Formats: sequence, structure tokens, C-alpha cells
Amino acid sequence: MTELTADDLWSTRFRRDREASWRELEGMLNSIEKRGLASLGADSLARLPSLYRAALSALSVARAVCLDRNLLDYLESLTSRAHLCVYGPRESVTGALLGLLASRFPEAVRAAWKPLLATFCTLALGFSIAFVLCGENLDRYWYFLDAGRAQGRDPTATYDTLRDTLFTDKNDDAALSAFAAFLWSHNSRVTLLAFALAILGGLPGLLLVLLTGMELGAMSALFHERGLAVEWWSWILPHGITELSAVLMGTTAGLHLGHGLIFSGPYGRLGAMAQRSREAGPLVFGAIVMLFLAGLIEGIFRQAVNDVPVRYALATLTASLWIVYFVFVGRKK
Amino acid sequence: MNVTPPRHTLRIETPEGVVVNLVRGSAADRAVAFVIDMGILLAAIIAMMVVSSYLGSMWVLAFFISLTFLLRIFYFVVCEAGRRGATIGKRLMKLRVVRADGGQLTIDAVLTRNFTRELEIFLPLTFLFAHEQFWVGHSGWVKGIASLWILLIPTMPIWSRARVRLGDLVGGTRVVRAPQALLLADMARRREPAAGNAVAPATELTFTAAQVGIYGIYELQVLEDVLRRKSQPGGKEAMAAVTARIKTKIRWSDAVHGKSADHTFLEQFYAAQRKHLEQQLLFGKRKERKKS
Repeated sequence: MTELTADDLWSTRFRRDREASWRELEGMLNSIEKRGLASLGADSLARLPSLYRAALSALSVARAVCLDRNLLDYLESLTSRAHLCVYGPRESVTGALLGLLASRFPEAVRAAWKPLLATFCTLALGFSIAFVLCGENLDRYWYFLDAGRAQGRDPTATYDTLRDTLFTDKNDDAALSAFAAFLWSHNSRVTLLAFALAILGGLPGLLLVLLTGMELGAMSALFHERGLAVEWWSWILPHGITELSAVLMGTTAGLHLGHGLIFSGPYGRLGAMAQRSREAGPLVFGAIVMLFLAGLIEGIFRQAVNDVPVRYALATLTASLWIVYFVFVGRKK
Repeated sequence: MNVTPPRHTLRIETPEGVVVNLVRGSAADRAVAFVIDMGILLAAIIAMMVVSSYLGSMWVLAFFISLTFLLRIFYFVVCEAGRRGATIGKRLMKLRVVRADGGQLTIDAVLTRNFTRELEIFLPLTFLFAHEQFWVGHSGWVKGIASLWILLIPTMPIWSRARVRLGDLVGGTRVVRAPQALLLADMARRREPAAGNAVAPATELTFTAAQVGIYGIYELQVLEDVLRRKSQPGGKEAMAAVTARIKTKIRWSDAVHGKSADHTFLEQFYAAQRKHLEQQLLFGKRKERKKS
């Protein structure tokens, strides 16, 4: 074809020598973006990184010496596409999520024991305040709870109506399991909201936890007052241990990020938060999974089983399983 | 290249140490993508409700409610952590999620960026549609501050300098336009005569160093644009106008140098000028624009 003529531009020769490899890379990228990495054969897959690096170095050179703007734009776009392929998400999504459960979630929980403790203390504080104040005088009940959340559990209710909220007729258990699934999504919202609020400097998230603790404290005071303490805790604990832990985990994840926002360290606020998302991601994911399990317990088990000792047995079982999981799973050998 | 990048470019440094420029997704594109995604979710949820009410069993309903919630939470995560790095809406709007520091997009970053949505979208929506639940019994200034706060967070992609939403900041991610430039023909390269068909080469025009030294890189690249658009409507007129201006500027007269077609003149002038400027570049001299 054409001979190399003396008056050819340097940048034209530069392009002629490399264009084939750029085109090859472009073809691979098209195929990856349409059909995934698996669409490439082993040979071309092995060539991808070296083609990517060649294109990157061509871009650096071209920026310094080439004035063909289309070429510069093309190389810029080619290298960034290749960068996204080479450094895009690598592991499969399900694999990554299972990995989180198998080791990184319990690891993150162990690493974040301080904010977790702080969150737990906040919850306990809210609970104690409401429990003590309502215990002295049940008129204070409505300071801590709004009517929508109380669902009939209010100071004017009789022993029997209160007791009825704790036990179910076998007949409508299916209906209640559907209702429980609704409840579950409400509590997940609380978790996510506590997470998101805690990012904004921590306090709003802790406030939400405090309020959650107060709701629980006020209700507990009411049931204790009516002599239903044993039945009340048999109702709340089987799913409550898992659910409240999930709320604590979500808030802890937010606090971890909020800590980065306030005490940023050497990489600036954004850098600190981006780094901390490594621990916060597993925490909040684990919290959602825990909520799912709590929802199952609440929806299926608790509505079907009205026997108080069995309920306590399940509560003990969940507590010990979570302890074993958080203490022992995912430790490096 | 020492120009400050415009607001819409995102400069990320690859692990190899080369800076590549990506174009940030605009707030409008992202909003449309989000609406598409929510539409998909809503359609899925409605479909499930219809199916479960048709089947009539409460257990099926409970199952679908759980599925709905999982979908709401994990639709974004699963799509963005997948190899395309984008939800269906983002893919339609040609957007994708990248890590701001140029590193690998991890599942943690995707989880974090998506779990702030409760605060950014759903809480403000609740305020909009169920405000009496929150508003009653608060004084005016509390309402004012709360509304301001609730307005500021979801509108972050519009007012923040880097066009990010809260979740992007927290997860260290950015949303960019998926790059897609085509490699076009090199305008400085001689057209190759078709094989076996000997065409007389176009007359060779020669330019003096003074003539090619007038313009800078900016003008060169504008000329490149004009040449690339010669077959588009209006391209011929643009070429004629540019040719006339260049000829005046470099004191080129058809009488002395011989007459040539507009595109031949422009192509050859482009090649000569690019050669000149690139040579200057090799010597470290970079001329951005002509001296006015």
C-alpha cells in the first residue's frame, strides 16, 4: 500500500504503528460490555491487561506530542473504558455478598466494638429512662410513644386486651405473618434511617436509637404494671434480640462513617469516609440480613407458638447463636 | 494541558499513574435514570401484588412482601456491583458508577452508596406526602430548618460542585457518562489512491514557516472540526468561509500560488500546520492560540 513518505507526520506514524492494537482492545471492550468477560477467549483475556497498559502509555505520549484532537479523545475514551473493565467489579455479586456473611461482617462487628457499645448504651439509656418514668406514673406513657405505634397497647387497656396482643389464635396466623412482613419492613426502615442519620455527624442516629429504646421502655413498663412481665418478654425477645442487634449494627455503621466526617485524618473528610465504607458496607448489609431473619422469626415462629417456655428457649437459642457467630466466625487462622 | 478542568470532568488517576478524564453524569440524566429504575421497581411490585391477590393465599402475600423489600434494597446494589456498574436506568442513560480514586469498585462502596437512599429520597418523600405526621405541634422555625435540610440533601447533585449525591460522597463513588468516542480518519494523512487506479495526486502546496507559524493549537483543532464536517449540511459553506479567512491571514493569493479546491487547500494547510506545531512540541514549545 502506501509507502512511508518523508513528509509523514510523526503523529501519523505513531498512530499507524499502534492502531491495530487499539482496534483489538476496542473490539474486546465492545464484547465485554455487551456479553461480559466470559465472552472473551482465554487468549484474548490474557492480552487485555497488556493492551490496556499499551493504550495508557500511548495516551500519555499522545498528550505530549500529538495534536489530532479526535485521536486524543479516542484514546482518552478507550483507556477509560478499558480502565473500567480492568478495574470494574471483579467478583460475582452473589459471591461477594456470601463472602461478607462468611467472614467480613463478623470481622467488622468485632472491629467496631466501641461504637457498638456506645449505641447499645444509648438504647439502654432510652429504655431505662422510659421504663423508670412510666413505672412511677403511667400517665407519662404518651410522652414516649405515639398512638400509631402503640396499636392498642395503651394505659387504658385492660389485662385481657393487653394479654391478647401477646398471643394469637391459631386460625389467623397466616394473616399475621403477612402483617409481620410489613412490620419487618418498618424496622428495616428504622435501621437504614439510623444508618443514614448517623453519617451526618452521629448524633441524629443516636437520637433515633434513644427514641427506639424509649418506646420499648414505655411499653415494657405498661406490661410490667399489669403483671404481664413474663409473657411480654417472651413475646419481644425471640425476634427482638436479632432485630435490636440489627438496629445497633446499622447505627454503628453510620457512626463509623460519621466519625470519618468529623475526625477526618490525613486523607480529608471524603477520603476518610470512602475508606471507612469498607467496614460500614458489611455492617449495614449484615444488619439487613439480621432484620430479614428477625422478620422470619416474628412472622412465622412467634405467631405459631404460644407456649411461653418455648418462646424463651428460642430467645436463648438466637442469643447464643449470634454470640458464637460474632465471636468465632471469620477469624483469621 | 495545564488548563483547569471544566466542572463536568472528573479526573481520576488510574493505578498505573495516568490521569484520565471522565465526564460526570449530569443531575438531569441521573434523575431520569432514577425515575426509570423506580418505574421498574414499581412495575415489579405491582405485578407481584396482582399475582398474589389472584392466588389469594396470605402466605404468598407474605412471601411477595419480603421479596418486594429485598428488591427495593438490593436492586441497585446487585446491578451496580455487576460488571456493567450500572442499573438498567443508568445503562439507558449511558451512565455508570466508578470509584472516585480510580481504584476498583468494591461491593462495600456500592452497599454504602445505596443505603443512604432512605435519607435522600424516601424520607423527603414521606415529608411531602405525609407531612401532617411530622409538622403538627412544631414552631415555625423548626419547620423552616427541617424543610431546608430536607430540600438540601436530595438536591445535592444539582448544587454540589462535584455533582455528587450524599451516597457518592460517603461511598467514595462517582457517576460518570460511559465513554464512547470513535476513532475517525487522520485528517493529516494523504488519501490513498484506490489500488490499480492511478489518480494524479493533488497539487502539492507549500507553506512557509511564517505562514504555518501564525495559528496555534486551538485554531488547528477548530480546523480539524471543520474538515471532519465537510460532508454535513453547511459544511461546504463553512469550509469556504474558513478558507477565505486563512488565505487573508497568511497572505495567500491564488494568483501567485495557483488555484486549488477549498478542501485541498485546507487539508494541506492543516497537515502542514500540524507538522509545524508538533515539531515545536517536541522542542517543548506549546503554542495554545494565535497571537491576536
